[in-house]
Amino acid sequence: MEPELWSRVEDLFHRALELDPNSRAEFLDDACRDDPVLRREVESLLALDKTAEHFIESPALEVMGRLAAQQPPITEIPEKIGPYRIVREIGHGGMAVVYLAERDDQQYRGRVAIKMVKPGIGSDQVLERFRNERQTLAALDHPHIVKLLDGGSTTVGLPYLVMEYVEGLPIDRYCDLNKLSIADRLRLFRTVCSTVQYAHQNLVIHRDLKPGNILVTREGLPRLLDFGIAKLLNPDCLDTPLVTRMDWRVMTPEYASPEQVRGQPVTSATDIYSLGVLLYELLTGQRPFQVAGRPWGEIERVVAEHEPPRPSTRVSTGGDAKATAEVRMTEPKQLVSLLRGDLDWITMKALEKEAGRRYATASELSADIGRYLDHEPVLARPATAAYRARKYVRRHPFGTAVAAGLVLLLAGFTGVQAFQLRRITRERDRANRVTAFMEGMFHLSDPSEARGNSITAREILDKASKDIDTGLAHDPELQAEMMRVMGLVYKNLGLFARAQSLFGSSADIRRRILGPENADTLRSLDDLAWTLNQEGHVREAEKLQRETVDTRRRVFGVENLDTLRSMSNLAWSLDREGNYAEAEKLEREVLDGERGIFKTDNADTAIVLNNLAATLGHEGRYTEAERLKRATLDIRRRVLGPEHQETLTAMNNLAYTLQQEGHYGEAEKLQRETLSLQRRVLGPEHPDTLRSMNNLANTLAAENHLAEALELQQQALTIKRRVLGPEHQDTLWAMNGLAETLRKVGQYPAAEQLFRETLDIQRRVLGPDRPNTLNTMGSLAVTLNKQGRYPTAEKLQRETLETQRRVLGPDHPSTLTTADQLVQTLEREGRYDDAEKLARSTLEAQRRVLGPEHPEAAGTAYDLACVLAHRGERDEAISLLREAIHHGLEDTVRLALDQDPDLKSLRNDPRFHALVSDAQQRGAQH
Amino acid sequence: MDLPSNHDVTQLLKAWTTGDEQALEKLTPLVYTQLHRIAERCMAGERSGHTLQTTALVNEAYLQLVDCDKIDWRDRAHFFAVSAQLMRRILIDFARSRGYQKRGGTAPHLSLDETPSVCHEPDANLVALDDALNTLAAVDSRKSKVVELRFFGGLSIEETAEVLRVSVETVVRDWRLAKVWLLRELREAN
Repeated sequence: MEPELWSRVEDLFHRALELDPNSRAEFLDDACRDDPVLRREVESLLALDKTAEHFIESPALEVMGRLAAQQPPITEIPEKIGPYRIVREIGHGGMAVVYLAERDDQQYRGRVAIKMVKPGIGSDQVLERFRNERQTLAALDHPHIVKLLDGGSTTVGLPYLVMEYVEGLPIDRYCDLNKLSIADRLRLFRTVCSTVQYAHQNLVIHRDLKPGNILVTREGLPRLLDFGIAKLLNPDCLDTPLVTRMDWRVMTPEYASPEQVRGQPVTSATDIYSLGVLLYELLTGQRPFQVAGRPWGEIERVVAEHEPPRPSTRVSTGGDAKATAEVRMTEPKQLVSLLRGDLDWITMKALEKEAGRRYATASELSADIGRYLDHEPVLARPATAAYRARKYVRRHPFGTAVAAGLVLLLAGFTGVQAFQLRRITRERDRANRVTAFMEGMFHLSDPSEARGNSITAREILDKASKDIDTGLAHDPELQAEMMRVMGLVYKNLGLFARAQSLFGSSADIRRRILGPENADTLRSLDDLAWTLNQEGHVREAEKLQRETVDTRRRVFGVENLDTLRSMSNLAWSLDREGNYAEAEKLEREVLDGERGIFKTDNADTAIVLNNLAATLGHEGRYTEAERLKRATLDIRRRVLGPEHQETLTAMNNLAYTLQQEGHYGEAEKLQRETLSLQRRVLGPEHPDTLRSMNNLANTLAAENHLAEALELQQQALTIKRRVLGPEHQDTLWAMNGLAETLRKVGQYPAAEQLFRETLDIQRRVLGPDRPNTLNTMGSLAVTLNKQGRYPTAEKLQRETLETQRRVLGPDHPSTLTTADQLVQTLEREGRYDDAEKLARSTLEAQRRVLGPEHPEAAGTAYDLACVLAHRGERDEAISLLREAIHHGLEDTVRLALDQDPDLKSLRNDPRFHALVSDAQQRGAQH
Repeated sequence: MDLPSNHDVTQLLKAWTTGDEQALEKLTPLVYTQLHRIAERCMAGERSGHTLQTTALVNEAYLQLVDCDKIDWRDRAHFFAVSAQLMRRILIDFARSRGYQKRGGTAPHLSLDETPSVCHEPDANLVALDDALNTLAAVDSRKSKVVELRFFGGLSIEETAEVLRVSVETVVRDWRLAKVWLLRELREAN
């Protein structure tokens, strides 16, 4: 090239670069007016400027070194692997190559992806990694995680995995190509979060989340793939030495977390960070750090130390703002203002350098995005009064502007930062100590020390939680915190007894070194009380909670979230003890308090609403309970997402009330939906899942689908006895449910035996006059009645009734149920006067409390009809029967109306025949 | 070959700085040996647990070869210039010897960055880059030198400016244009 031309090219190239990309063409039009060669030259160079950003930025020696370490293999594509015919190569990474394949025989038609270790890479470590991947994938069964179909070794011993072949685009490209708005991107991203959450709950960390590993199918569903370096939180993997630089090489620097580049232990927080990078990229079109291609040392420094620009800053300064905005269906200015604030906060929280400051779980991240989408205050944002006011204004745009302006002026100066600076040095030492302890924790999983390779993550935790007593004794403050953290892990696993002992130790230490009024001490006490309650030690829990609430009220006041939470926990204990009135009063107080603080319903107020609804349900006020439960569910779906554990709990709770109201069909549908979600999201042995199994079984039993009910109950009970222990209240409840069904199918001795076992434990653990104990007494009495042991049954029923009237009140549904059961016994004994009197008062109360259409009222109406039939009072008997049939009388009773000996006196009455055929037609409609 | 003494290298560098071209002739094999050793060590995979930093390695060579007290920054800059040139030769030799041929060979193309998501030029390879760099030298030798120092020598922008005795801004501009130019050249060559 002519030197003169070259210098013009150079000049124009640099001048054009200084311009906005959109005005470059115009500039060149002008500058190269009569020189198309010059223009083409400059344009072709400008076009590559973005592409060349990372080109040759890594020094040659590093590139060579890395390549040499990879030992480029001979990549001849095999014709077949196992029974699969290879179609073509679709990708390769450092150690593995991926082929598209088809199966030759008739067994499996369709395309698969086969991932095979590259020839010559067969180091132990790689084979180990591959084996892990297979285990990992096999452990995960989720619609958004690519499925493992098969696996094996080739004839020359190279291991391979056969996976679903997913056709889709990397999530970033999918979003751009389909021009997804920011809101749509966020919704898609939330699905990714819930998938990652599922993996985490199965103790799997992905460790290399990036757009290339998240494909979005044509249907718009994300699919996570490549658990290539996923590490099961399992000692099988943990005891392979953690040569972090090795990990380093196989992962993608721009998505690596600070702890990964530092070579520190990787936890689920690492995935949260990578999700943060992904979110950043989906929002801004760029990654937080542009480090790829730079020397390792620099990457390490940048990722570990530099603060990335906030997303809103990034889109306003870097890249092609117009193009970025365009594929997000917006304008550059709008995009900046869309990102500024909440989305900045959320993204930056996920990208915190310190793992502990990020969102604790992927679902928390997702929930915060949900809050953003609903214009609710996000957690990522420091909760200043001014901010909450702004959110309030967003949701209530009229009339609040003036008030909000005032609040803005009063915005808090928290002074947190100065305090944090002082803490940093101390925290660093802390972090080191924690790391050391964690390392020790994993050393314990040395297979030679335990049995073979079959140790689970649980066992590591179990061992560590024992060692914690001595492990950090020289730093009791930290020791107490670690105890509490481990306690929380157990609590989340539903292992309350272990959680309880850790919380207890944590509280003891804190009380000793921090004093009884310290916020941390109180927090440990709250946790302790919560688990005591869960464990069924309700009164002990209540005592502790009353103390904590008193302390908090005195020290922090009532308008304090922690105080309110303590009160809420106390209310829950009171409810569990059957002290509904005080519980309800306290719950309403907490609800008012929280609404005063938050100004809107959120995850916190949903908890209070949920508890209040439960208490109302226990008081028998089903309609109010249903309304509040629906409200709770709405809030949780909105704020936490449709698959969040607490959302699922709300579904379960609502179904429970629907069942109590006698809406069996609706209850069953909701329960089946809940159960299948819980099995997938929480796992088949999670206490919540087990609880739902029992609830569904109860509905099925009420609908007379006894075989399925029985099977579910037996399954649930077996698992609960193993997982929760034989005295856990959930276990007891499952025993009761199973016994009820056994009685329904006529296995009276077995039912009686199980009721008596339950009753023994309840009397001992809960106390003789607790609602659940009384329920079991009532059920046992019915079983005795069925066996013809009327006097024993009557005695027990009178005792139960008397206690229920005292404890629950005379109009409580449970009290009325017992009364009706006593009516049946009296009728059997031929004491019609007593029976009629009790039946009338019971029916009157049930109509009043439950409504005349409630199945319980229908049952009592039927029983009263039987008594009247015995006495020859046909007119009223028939009218009561009609009411019962129309208002949800149990199927079994209704369909066998003409065979009931108690109604013998009606059999020659034509009105009775009409009733029977009416009843049976209703049956045919089912 | 035995390691040369600090004294030899220092003297030769000083002589070269003052215009003695013959000094460079003598200096080159001394530095080459040392760098070759380093490069070989890097590529033999004996580096688990170490990050590779070319500058650090060259510095290491420098410290081993040169008597630091007796040399000023200009000599040091010259040393880096020589090192980059030599490193280029060494690495290209490596690449050729390992069958990484320019085009059409059986060996796979080398991507210049192993990370697929950021490597936009999977077809570029080291030998082709070397050729392109020679072509660039004919158009604009300073830009070719900038690339040699940065890519083969592992020097930072500032160090490159120091060696070439131009401003940092000039190196930034040269580097940006040279990269784009080379990338275009490699694409056309393919």
